[in-house]
Parts: sequence; structure tokens; C-alpha cells
Amino acid sequence: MPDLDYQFDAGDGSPIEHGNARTIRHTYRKPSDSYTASVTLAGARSRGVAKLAISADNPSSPSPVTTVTSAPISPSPPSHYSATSTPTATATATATRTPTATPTATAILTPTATATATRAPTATPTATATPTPIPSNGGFAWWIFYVVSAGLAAAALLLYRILKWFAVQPTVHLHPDWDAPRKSEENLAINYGLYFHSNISAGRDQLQTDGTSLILRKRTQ
Amino acid sequence: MNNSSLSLRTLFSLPKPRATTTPSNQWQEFQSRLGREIKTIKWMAPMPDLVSKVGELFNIELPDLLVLSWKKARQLQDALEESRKSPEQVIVLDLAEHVITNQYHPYIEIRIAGVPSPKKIEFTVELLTRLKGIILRIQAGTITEIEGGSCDFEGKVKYQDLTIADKKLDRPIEFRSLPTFKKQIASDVQ
Repeated sequence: MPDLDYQFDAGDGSPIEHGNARTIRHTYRKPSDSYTASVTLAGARSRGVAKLAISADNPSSPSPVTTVTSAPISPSPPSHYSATSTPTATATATATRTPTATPTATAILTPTATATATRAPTATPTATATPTPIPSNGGFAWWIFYVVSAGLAAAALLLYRILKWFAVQPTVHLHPDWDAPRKSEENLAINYGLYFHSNISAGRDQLQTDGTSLILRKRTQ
Repeated sequence: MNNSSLSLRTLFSLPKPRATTTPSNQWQEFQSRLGREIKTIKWMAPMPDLVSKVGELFNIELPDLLVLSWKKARQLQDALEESRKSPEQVIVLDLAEHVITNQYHPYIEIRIAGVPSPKKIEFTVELLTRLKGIILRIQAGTITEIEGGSCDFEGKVKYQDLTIADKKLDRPIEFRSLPTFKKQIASDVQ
């Protein structure tokens, strides 16, 4: 993985070693102590850390403290590399102890790393074509698109009205052909009816006298 | 008051169909309201002048309405029944002073081909008549004539909540030998 940087920390205070090599060998001066060795893998867009506990009790089978942590690196890659880029890094570590006359401990950290990344669009950039970075928060300026679209629509509407005004002017044609034979109008008969309901029989009425009989006198002729 | 023009249209002074005089404000308001009502009918052709037709609805004679009310009075019904039994006999009845109040709901129905429910323009008519000295002539179970008498008349014509006519005569109507419409009224009642 040429684009990964391996940072080995033996955990005993010795300087951190950088490089592209996937394996280092480190000898502890005080094998009786316990150490936590770690290796950090730094990729272009991610970072992973693996830690390894080393002790004199069981130096040949060190147990990993943390197998891997991976986190994306910010700022984000350019958008044309797309958000689908998913670089990952994994690391494993092993330690062995070589008994010698002088008690020493040797830890061999052998991290392995894999990284995958996808790009969209799929066109593979060449060495000579350096992608132009676009501001990470910009994307496509949609507001420009909206403003331009609205302007074009307004202009089209205005143009349509102007054309309509000039093109569809009503014209009046007089036909003073009084002598022409008249034809009766057709298809103008409307079938309608007006029905008058005086409704007098359904009315409410009340007849009141001042207490006397309604008929004062009855006579026959 | 001339007995020959005792229709409700005349009494309420409703405009004649082709009247040239300026109608009252109430009538103008009624015209505009009715115009709005008619516009709700989806009809491609212009609507006939409906307002001018309204007057026809009120071509009802006031004596005919009075006869209908009298015929509902129990004592008069008895007298009519008696005259029915002896149809050749003419009976003359002198009525006491009385008041008749009426309420009617005449309406005009507009039916247009293709429109499922007809449009109904309904009015409310309220009448109050005070009758004095009425003399009725009855024969063969019908009131044939109002021989005499007089009545004070007042009434209202409403369309929805709009009063389009409100009339109170300052002089009583005199009835003098006024024949009634026997056939029509008899069929209305029976």
C-alpha cells in the first residue's frame, strides 16, 4: 500500500517510527515490564489504529487491545470523488519473544491494511489531468439555476403576451349585404319552461271574528 | 278602488311586464338579486326576462283568496252543505266583521332540458284583510257572488329576506256585486 503511512509506537518511550514497511522489529530493553504497542495506518482519506498489549507473562501470544479503528479524514475529498469513497484500514499485530541470555523482548508488529475507494464518475483521472478541486460545501450552485430558469420563464411569458397582443388582434368585418337572402337561425331553440305555482291552496290562513258568530244573518231567495 | 283590478299584482303595485316607469328601489334590488340567482344556472343562451314574468305569478284575484278562506270556516261550510242539498235555492249570508290573515308561498319553477333539478324562485306573501259588511250569495254548494262589503288591505311580498313590496291601502276596498270564479275555486278546495 504505497499511499499508507505506517507509524509504529513500541510503547516503551522509544521514538515513533514512520515508513511504508508493513513490518518492523523492536527490542524491549526491559522485558519484565508490560507495554502497549500500537501501529497507526494513515491513508489518504482514513486513519486506523491497532494496539497490542505486550507483557513478560505471555510474550509469545500478545493480545490485541484494539484491533482497528477507522475514521474518515476531514476535510472530505472533492465532490467528484463522491461520497461513496469508502476507504478502510485494518491492522493486526503479533508479538514474539526470543529468549536469549540477556533477557530481552522482541515484538514484531505486522499490520496488514486494505483500503478500497470508489469514485463517481468512474472516469479514471490520469496523471496529467489533475481534478480541479471544488469547494467542499458548494456543490452545484442551484440558486443560480433557479434564478436563471425563473428569468427565462418570465421572459418567455412576456414574449408570449407581446406576440399575442400583436398577432391576435380582433378584427371586425361588416357585411352590409342587406339584399342577401336571410336564413333562419338554427340550433338556437332552447327547451325551457317557466312554471307558475300560485300555491294558494297550500297557503295558511286564519279567520278571526270579535267573538260573535261569523254569520250574522241567513236568508233565502 | 275599482273592483275589476283586485289582483295581487295590482294591489302590490308590481310593475307590469313592459312597464316604462322606473321601478322602486326594492324592485331594482330584487331584479339584481334574481339576475345573480339565474346566473348560477349553467345555460348557454340568454335567460328570458324573468323579472317581467314575476308579475304573472301575482295575477291572483284577492276575492278568490277570500272565498278560499271563507270556505274553510266551519259555519260557512255548514251553509254551503245546506245549499248543496237544495241547489235551486239561493242563500244570502251577512257576515260579521272579521279579519283574515293569509300566508302563501308562490313560486316560479324554471325547467331547462338537460338540467336535472329545476330552479325554484319562491316568494312569501303575507296578507291581512279586515272585512266589514260582507254579504255572500251561495248556491249549489258554492259562493257565487260577493254582493257587498268592504275590506282594508295590507300585505307584503318577500323574496328570501328582501321585501320587494309592502302595501297598506289607505282606503278600504269596496265590494259591489262581485261574482266569484266558481269552477276554479270549487276545484281548488275539493
